[in-house]
Amino acid sequence: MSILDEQKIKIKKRNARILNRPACSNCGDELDELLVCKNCKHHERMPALKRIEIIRKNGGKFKQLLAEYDIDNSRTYDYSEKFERDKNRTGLSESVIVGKCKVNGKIFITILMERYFMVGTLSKANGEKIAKAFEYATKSNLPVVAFCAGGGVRMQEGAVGLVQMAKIDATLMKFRKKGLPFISVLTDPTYGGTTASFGLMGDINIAEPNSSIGFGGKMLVKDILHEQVADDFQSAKYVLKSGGLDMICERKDILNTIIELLAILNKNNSIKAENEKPEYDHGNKKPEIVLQNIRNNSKTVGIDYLFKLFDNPIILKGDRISYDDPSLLTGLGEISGIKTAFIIQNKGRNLRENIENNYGMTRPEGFRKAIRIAKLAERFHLPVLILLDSPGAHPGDVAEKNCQSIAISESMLNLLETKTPIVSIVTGEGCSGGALGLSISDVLAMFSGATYSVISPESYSAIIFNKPEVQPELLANMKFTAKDLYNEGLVDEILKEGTLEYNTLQIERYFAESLVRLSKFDIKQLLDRRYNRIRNWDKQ
Amino acid sequence: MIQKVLIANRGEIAVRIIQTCRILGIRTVVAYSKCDKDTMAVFLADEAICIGDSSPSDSYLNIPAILEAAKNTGCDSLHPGYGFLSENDEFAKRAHESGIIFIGPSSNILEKTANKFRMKETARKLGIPVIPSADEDKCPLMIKSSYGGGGKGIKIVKNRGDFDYCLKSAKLSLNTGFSGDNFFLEQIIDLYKHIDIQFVADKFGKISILPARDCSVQSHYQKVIEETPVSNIPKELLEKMEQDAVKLIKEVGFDNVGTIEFLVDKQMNYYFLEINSRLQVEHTVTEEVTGIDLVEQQIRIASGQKNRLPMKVSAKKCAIECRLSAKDNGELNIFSLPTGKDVRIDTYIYQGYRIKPYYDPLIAKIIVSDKERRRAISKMKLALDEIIILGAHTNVDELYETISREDYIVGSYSYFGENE
Ligand SMILES: [Zn+2]
Repeated sequence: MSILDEQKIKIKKRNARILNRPACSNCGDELDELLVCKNCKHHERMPALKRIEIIRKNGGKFKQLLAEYDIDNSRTYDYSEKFERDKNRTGLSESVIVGKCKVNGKIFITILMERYFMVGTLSKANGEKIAKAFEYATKSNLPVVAFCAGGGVRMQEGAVGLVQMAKIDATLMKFRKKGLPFISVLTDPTYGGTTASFGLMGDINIAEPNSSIGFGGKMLVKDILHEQVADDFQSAKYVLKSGGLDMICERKDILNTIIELLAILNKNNSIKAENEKPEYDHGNKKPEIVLQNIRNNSKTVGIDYLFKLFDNPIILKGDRISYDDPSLLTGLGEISGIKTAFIIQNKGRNLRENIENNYGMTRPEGFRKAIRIAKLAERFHLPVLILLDSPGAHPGDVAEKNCQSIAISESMLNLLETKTPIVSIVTGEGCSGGALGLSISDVLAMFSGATYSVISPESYSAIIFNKPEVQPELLANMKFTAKDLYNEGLVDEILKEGTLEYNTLQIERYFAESLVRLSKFDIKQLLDRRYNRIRNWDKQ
Repeated sequence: MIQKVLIANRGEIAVRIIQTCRILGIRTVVAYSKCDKDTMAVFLADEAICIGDSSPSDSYLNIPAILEAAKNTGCDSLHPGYGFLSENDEFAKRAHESGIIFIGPSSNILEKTANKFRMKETARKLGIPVIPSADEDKCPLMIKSSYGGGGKGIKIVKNRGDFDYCLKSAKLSLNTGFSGDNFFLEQIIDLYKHIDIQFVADKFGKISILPARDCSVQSHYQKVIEETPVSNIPKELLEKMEQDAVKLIKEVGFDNVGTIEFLVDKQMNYYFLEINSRLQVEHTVTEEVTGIDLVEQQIRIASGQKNRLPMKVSAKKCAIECRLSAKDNGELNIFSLPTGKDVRIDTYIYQGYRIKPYYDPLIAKIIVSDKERRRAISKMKLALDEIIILGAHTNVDELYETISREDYIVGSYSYFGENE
């Protein structure tokens, strides 16, 4: 940005101040009624009361609960001056508001934190209030939606403030055991006391754009650790990339996203029996033709299927440990009226996408993300659809440093135990550990032009014959075509392949039909059956 | 006529004096303190001489050092600028004794005008309204220093119990530049406007009254925005003030450029405040609307020439000055300063200049003029938007916010200090 651009912004901000009109702190332009900049979309901090106002404006209902837990301890801990100041400027009696909301027929308990009240810090009083909110929701069988804001622990209250984090988590544990959904909305700023207790423990973590989300304050990192940090340190994008968030959602879409998520996470799924059947095939294609198709850049990739299969997929990101693997699309959506969790390997369609997606090579964090999504599906009784298309698990330095081998085996072990039906389909290239780690399922099908191999043909040639180019005459020996796999009894069906539309329909029908077949098993039978399938995978 | 002038000042006013001297063909010597070696005045002057350390008492208030410098550089005169020793009768006297022309009124006049309490008495005797005196049992009241500079030394006492404390802090707040610890008490008036009557008088008794200035936008009793002519005071009232000013100038026998300051209350009563026996910071607006060079007038009259101005000089247009000040010290990174027709900038800063903590934080005076006051305000707004200075915080936003006020635009705004 040039000096003149900066001057322009400075002038805009000043002029807004003169007119007593709120202005974007980023570019100085006007804000809309959601306090979002009309020009640059910068999201200004929103007071808790204003959020309630917006819920009501959108036809929602809000009834305050647990107000009796707003106890003033500021005299005991000697900070009454600040406490009084914030009471006056916010019109609140503590930094947390709890209420029962009804929006579009969905009822949930909401926890709103006010950053402008004692920086939204956790205190003895509001710690108790949040704990009570989770207990109330557990007792009444209601989901919880938290709008997190503010800092850590109220330091004036010392260790009493600190233990609030554990106290809240104890009630969150009971709440989770009941299988109720918790959606956490992280707003600017959310730090330690909140993030390290319940803030990032949502079944779904949503962040508002340009929020700062972190453990320790930036000043702390700079002044005490003397660490140089990047400009985007603790930004929502940074946390998303670090695997801590599912999505960044604009303020105008948050309420709808919450409603959509609650509609999926309500354990109320229907599987209809009158579905048409997919068309099967013998997979008689020649290996070199198959290979050529697979390697074709204009070939359909995971993201094409995602948006054809689901009208409005909700993509969930992050392994909640360290990274979001972009080569694996995971999330929730509906196929033929069936609420579904999806795990889709996604290569790139061009060089740029391929670089972004690591050429579709799943990283350890990808397998860990898949495990997380499978567990989410299990908690909310959603079947899992897995689409496989990857040249293999990532074998490089970044993967080894994060224990790729362990990630693959953990993925297999976890999928073996996941208490919900799993349908896997090889849509393109099923290769080595990258495919195997996500092949553990109740049914496994292949498209007629797909492959499933122990290694890529290139590597096969290089290792066995010491020749880096693919040797066409040796391809047949690799036995990677759908027909080969079917003949070995390693896949259940070969799906006929055609256009993207046709293939989508095939997946839809195969998925629905499989679920109908699997629905006659209860969970124990399903897991026993899955165990036996895998235990006897190589026996025809 | 004066041949060579020693400028015993710094900053923008030193530059301002050099500008006129150059036009008149007068040689200049700048007397500077140690840390001011890198200032614009030192660069522009024909000669420069260091007169002491950075602290004002060691340099710009150091009478022997300044006179020594004037003698050593062969100056026949000295210009004190404003502030520092500009109204110090002792300085003027000793300059005279050393055979150096003091560009300003004679020392005996300075001696009279310097004591505010005595000037007030003089005015009262002439029938000029003055602010009624108060005694410490009738609070609220105002404590004023007889030798206070500008707003310095003024304290408002709200309750009787605060009196001793206020008096003590009034004494403390006086700068080292002003000696004496005589204080007097005045009743509080419902202050509306601060009006300056600018005049030029010569040694032969010819007095010219120039357009009055409205200096009612202040901060801690220090002027921030000034304009001329005065827009929101009845004409008859202004004329009365001008007549009283002439009476007072005659009584004192004032013989150079000066200003008589009046206060006007909300009931449209006016009161004599003090005489400023020097060039003022805001002399620029008067120059802009009259076309008169006031520094030139000072030099000509000090050289013994006659005042050739008419008795009453009227304003041809309207001018506004904003004082741009630094809020902190730092190396200035100047990207842009205002330009264009009827825009004048009096400054001494340049790219990379480091603001000195020892002196007044004024970094530039932005002056605009136009036939219509509202158009002048628009020009000033644009001029302030053109100022891009990094490296130090300035009051540019506050200036802009003030001139954008509805009441400023209609001419009724005034602000003097937080105590008001
Ligand atoms: Zn903006």
